[in-house]
Amino acid sequence: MSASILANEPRSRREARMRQLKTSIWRVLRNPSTFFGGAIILLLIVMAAAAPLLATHDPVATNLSDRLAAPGAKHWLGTDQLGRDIYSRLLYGAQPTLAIVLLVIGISAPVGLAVGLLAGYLGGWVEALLMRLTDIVLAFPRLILALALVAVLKPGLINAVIAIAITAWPNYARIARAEALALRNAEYVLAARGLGMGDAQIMTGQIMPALLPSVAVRATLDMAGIILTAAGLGFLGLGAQPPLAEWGTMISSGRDFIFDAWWVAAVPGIAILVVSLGFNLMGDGLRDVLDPKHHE
Amino acid sequence: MSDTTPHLLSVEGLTVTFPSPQGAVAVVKDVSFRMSRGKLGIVGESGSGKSMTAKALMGLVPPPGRMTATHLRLGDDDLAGLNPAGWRALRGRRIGMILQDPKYSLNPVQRIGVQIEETLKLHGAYTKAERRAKAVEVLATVGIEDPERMYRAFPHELSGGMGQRAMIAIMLVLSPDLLIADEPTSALDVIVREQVLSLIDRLQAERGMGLILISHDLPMVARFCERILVMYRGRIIETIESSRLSEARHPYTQGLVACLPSPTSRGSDLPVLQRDPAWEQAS
Amino acid sequence: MIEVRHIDVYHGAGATRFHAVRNADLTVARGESFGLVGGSGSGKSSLLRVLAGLSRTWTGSLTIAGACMTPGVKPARAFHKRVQMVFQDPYASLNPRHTIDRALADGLELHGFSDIDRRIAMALDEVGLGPSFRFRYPHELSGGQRQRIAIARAAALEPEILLLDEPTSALDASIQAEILNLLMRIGRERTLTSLFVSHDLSVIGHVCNNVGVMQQGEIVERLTADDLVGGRVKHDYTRRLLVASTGRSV
Repeated sequence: MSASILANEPRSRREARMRQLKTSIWRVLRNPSTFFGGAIILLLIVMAAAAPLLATHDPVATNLSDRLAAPGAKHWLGTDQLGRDIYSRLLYGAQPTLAIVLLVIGISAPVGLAVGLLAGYLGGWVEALLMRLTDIVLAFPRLILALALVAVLKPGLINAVIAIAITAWPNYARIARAEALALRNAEYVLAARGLGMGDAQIMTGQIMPALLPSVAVRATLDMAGIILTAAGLGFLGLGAQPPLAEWGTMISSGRDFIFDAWWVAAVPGIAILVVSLGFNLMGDGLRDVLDPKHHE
Repeated sequence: MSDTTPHLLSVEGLTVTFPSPQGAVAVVKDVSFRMSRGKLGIVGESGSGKSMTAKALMGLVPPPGRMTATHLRLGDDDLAGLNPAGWRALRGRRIGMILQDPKYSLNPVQRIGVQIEETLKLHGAYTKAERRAKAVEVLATVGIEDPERMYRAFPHELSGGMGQRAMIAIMLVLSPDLLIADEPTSALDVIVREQVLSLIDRLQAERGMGLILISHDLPMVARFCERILVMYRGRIIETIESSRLSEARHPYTQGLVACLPSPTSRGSDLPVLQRDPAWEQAS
Repeated sequence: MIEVRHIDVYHGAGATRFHAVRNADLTVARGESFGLVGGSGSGKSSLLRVLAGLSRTWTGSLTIAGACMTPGVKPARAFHKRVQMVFQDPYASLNPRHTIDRALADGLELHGFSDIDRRIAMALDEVGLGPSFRFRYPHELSGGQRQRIAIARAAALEPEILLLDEPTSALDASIQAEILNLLMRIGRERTLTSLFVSHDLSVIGHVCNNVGVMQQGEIVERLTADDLVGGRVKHDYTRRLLVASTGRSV
């Protein structure tokens, strides 16, 4: 098995794919940006998944005698105004934060990709229609639009996700359209048409794979923004509802005591900062790793 | 080659290296030649180092590449130890360069006239009126019928052939001693190619400057230049008079000549060049 | 095999519409190798794309490989099996994200071939590339090797007509010779009908029996291979092309 993979040329489709996968993983690990970004993201996932095991307290249990306790031996990162343990809330808060990010990306990236692909490849009135729609959505400041949508939909975590997703897809559509437009008349696309391939096959088989890297890069760079938008909604009381721990909501509740008990707002703030940095590093690194021109 | 004519350019041991994880890689290896104010061709296939040789002669080896030469003289000037400022003073005034595609070598947001005057401004003390007069004059010499209109034109308004003429005008306005043309016609239409080549030919003869024509197109270079340097993997493997191309001694040159298709060879297989690793060694 | 009657080809629409080919007439017999020669903007590639079914903005009548084409209508898939094309730029005509295997398999699967594995191996062998190339990516290949892949991709479908759009002009002279030899061998072995487009009369003269010279969208002169050898050309433009590509003035 290992001998055949180490042999000079792959001998089957499977082997070729495996080798491609291996070199991709190797490149991701070797690139410092993707490595550290990946480590931070992995840490976030572990935090979210193992929160019940790692937490020292019940994240929603209030203890008014212990309110606003400074970080110390009993409460590692202190407590908030209701005496809840911030360390435990931070761990549990990773769950909704991660869920929001994944759901928003999961909805907006495929929608944006499809819109951009259709617009860029088909052109004509399809493009005019789809891109005007995209421009209209883009014209609104993101947080304001999300605010308006949540206000209409009722505050809550799921509605926050929907609202952010609706504001997030146009970016992907713009990127996908620009690249699809450039590829529409690429010689290899023409060659595929010359082989007898139909438009649907060309879009999915020839053009979409070429759009995926930039969409993926954009998505990782966007994740930081999504966390911040979600935090913003949470901060304004329109995202996750108390007592659920969510990082943005946590900052929001800490703002009243920012001078007396800095840790209440600072701890989730730093967490958002670090995770945003992680996603940004990941995005930057992926841009290099996925660019075929960088292959040695 | 007679030794009585003074040499315009003499090059000895010109080497260009690029660092790599496996140590320095030489893309131009120990290139030596001398030329007078005539027409010299450099021919080679992709990867032969011909373009890098041209860049080295202009002091334009891109970093992290390094150029070294035991001897590099243009007229009476020693270029081997020149600093960047020294090269800048030389380029445009004494050495001009024409590149492959005028689309990329002309500044798209400046009028042609401004680009010609730019060169004059960099290298001499001319008044505004003098610069303009000189620019229009040089446009006329490169065979442009309405130089005043060309003076005001933007690069995108020009065809490939006209753009290349404008490029030549920019390079010739200071009457350099040496003109280096790196694939000056390969982005042009076949017919326009001939016109641009004969223009370069005429200007070379009129101004008595030295010309180095670099191309992958052996028949074209042979038609145009008196002497040809054949490069292979960074080395000059043969220097030959164009008129005696059929008597080439090196198997690579022979192969390049033999593999050319023509109507008379119709239907028959063309000889295929068998590369010998020994060609890469210094002889 | 190819019957072109009064074909006009246009690019764009409205005020920017460009009349790329004017009233072209062309007949290519089975097994013949026909050359179209001309400078840039002569319309030779535009005409070729109409024949390949890749361009729809044309008028006139066209019968190719037994199929009567209608302007503005996309040809049936089976048409593409019979008429295949090789493009100029071997760096651009292969999808950089697909292995050679995928590039060859796509067309074979599309046209319902059986034992695709064996056919891919045969196609690679035919163009002088061994099985070791099969799972490589285009960027791991040289220009000449990529053009061999492009030829293998076209030839694997066993087409009746091969359309060649400047297939060697992006290659070095020594590689050009290898590709020309390969194309002529495939043409001989399979009695292919081919239409070869180039700006280089010496290449066209080497490959083709009959030649059409195009200038500004019109076929201005027709020549046989012997006319070229004997320098019997009438049109001034042909004469200039001949000088440009062979250095020979007539």
